[in-house]
Amino acid sequence: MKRSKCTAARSKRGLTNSGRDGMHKKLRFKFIALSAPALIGFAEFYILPFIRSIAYAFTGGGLEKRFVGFENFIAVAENGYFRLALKNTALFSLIGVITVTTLAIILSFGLAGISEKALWIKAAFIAPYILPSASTVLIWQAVFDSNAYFSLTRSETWGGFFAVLPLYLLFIWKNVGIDIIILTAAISSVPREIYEAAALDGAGPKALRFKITLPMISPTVLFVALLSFVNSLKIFRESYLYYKTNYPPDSAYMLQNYMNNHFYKLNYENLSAAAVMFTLFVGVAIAAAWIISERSSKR
Amino acid sequence: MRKAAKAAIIIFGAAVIFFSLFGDMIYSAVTPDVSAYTVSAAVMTDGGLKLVLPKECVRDGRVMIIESYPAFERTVYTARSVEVLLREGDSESGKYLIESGLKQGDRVVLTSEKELREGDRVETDGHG
Amino acid sequence: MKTRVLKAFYALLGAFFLLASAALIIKSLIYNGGPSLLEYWELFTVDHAFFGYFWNSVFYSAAITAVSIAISLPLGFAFAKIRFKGSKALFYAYLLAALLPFQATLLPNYICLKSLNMLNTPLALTLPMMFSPLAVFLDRQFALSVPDELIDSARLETSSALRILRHAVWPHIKPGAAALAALIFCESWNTVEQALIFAMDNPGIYPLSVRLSDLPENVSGAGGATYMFPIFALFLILRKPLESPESGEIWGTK
Repeated sequence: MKRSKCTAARSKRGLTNSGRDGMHKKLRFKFIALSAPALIGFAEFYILPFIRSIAYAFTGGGLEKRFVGFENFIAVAENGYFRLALKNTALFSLIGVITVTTLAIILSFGLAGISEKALWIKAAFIAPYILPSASTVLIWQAVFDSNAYFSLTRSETWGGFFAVLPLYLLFIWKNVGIDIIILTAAISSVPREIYEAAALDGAGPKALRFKITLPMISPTVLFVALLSFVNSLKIFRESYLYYKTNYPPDSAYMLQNYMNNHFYKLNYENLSAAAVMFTLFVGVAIAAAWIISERSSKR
Repeated sequence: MRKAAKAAIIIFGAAVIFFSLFGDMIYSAVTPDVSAYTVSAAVMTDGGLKLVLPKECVRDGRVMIIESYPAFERTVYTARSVEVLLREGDSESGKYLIESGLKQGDRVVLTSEKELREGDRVETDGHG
Repeated sequence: MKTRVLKAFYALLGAFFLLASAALIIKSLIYNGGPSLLEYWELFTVDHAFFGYFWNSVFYSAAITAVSIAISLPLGFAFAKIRFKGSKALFYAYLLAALLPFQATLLPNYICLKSLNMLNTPLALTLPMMFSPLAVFLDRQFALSVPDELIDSARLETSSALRILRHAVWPHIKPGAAALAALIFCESWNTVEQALIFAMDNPGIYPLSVRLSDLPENVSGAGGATYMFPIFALFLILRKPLESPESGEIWGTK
């Protein structure tokens, strides 16, 4: 009796109309309204500018802006520097992310085994993230600026590798810390009972790590990889400071260098076309990854 | 150890706040600017740089020049003592002719509020 | 025995990572071969203009961090717990936006700020960065870990979305918000290029990151150390929420 009266009263107020997530319209609307500032800002500073970029990518012709179709895109695709930059950036991001994430996982596991909190070690690992870029680069230059190393970078086959190696090391050095902090937090949240149960079944420490912890923290690992990927695209500033030029050695020439140089040459159409193409690549890659992860979790 | 780190940070933070508010005042108070009139040693003759100075500027064969070094967004002027070679001019004119010891652009102190010592910070009021 | 070796190894590794920062701080405390606070004295009195930029940075980064976290939370929660049309597509857009290098949006953002007459004002150095896609991404991740029952029981108590967020969601994700705050603060504290371009004609409002390299040699150590100081302080303040035992779950476990 009470319930029907309640429901009747609530339906009068229009509150029984629940959506699939159990929330009625009014509440959902309130949440979306609260999200309005974020959405407006996102539209204004990300979506709109990107649309403008796309517009630029299709214009050209010097002072008189006219629609030039895919001219810019073709010019970019045929540009040797763009292809070089794309290859280097893809390589750097891929290798960088994999190395940093794997290293962070290994170190986090080791840390978890040692002590519960290990605060000072974590603080030490994250120190490079805090150091200003200029100071970091100064030290890096001091280390790598010897004549011996310089001759290494000039050698025939491996020269390129050595020329860009400082950049890779700098990236890893700077980013392990934050990854370790996040991963150790995730590792410590795995409930003890699961370990105990597995140990009772006779699982050794290695099996525990690979078969229990790793799968359980896999969403965190994914996030850490994503964070590292985002940071890998920001290596531009250190690169510029380290090589002291807008035109670093070939193996270190990245997409941001390409875009930056075109920015200063006022060649915005080219830059926009490159940005659009890059976004397309990344967008496709992410969509593919997403679809794969959805499929695998459904199985 | 943790307490030490905490304490260090609090102390440093307090210092930052304190000096943000009073740093400029302290600078002015601790190293008061001494006003001085200067003239640039920029007179060229065929024999080289020569400058005519009143006798009061020269003491023991030395004159005071002003050196500037660039600090962050301000230039700091310090007084420095330099040895010079003189030739006495007409005794009535009360002037010396400086033959050597100065470079072009050196700013020589003509008069100053107080007696300048080496390293004093100087506020240059103008050129003579 | 094995633990000891491991501990020693980590200590060594940690020392290696600390080397650069320690070197900077030590260098700033030395003058003419002996320990001295002279660099800091010079920096704080003679180079007093330093503080102008320092507090600029503090203000910008604090504002950006606070606002970012505040306005991204409802949206992150919405992505996680509310089904609405186009949420997947929108989230995908957010993900892409997080990966865009700044050069792609630099020019259009410049034009946008110019048309809004915000160039060369503090707004230009804060507003564009208050809508971080990373914040929304993380907030969604955190909100996903909030148990539905918690939200349901909160919904029974109040129909105010704000209250639900404050009492049911926020306490649960505090450690994550702390980490997010650290990330956003660091990122905004270190931006250089955008600040240079958006405030080109008003150098007085530059953040410290832009001017740090212009410090004269004799105070560069103290300058760098003071530059790092607020982040140290931030990590110290956030230490408790970052280390709290529940902090692991919000990052996502299967």
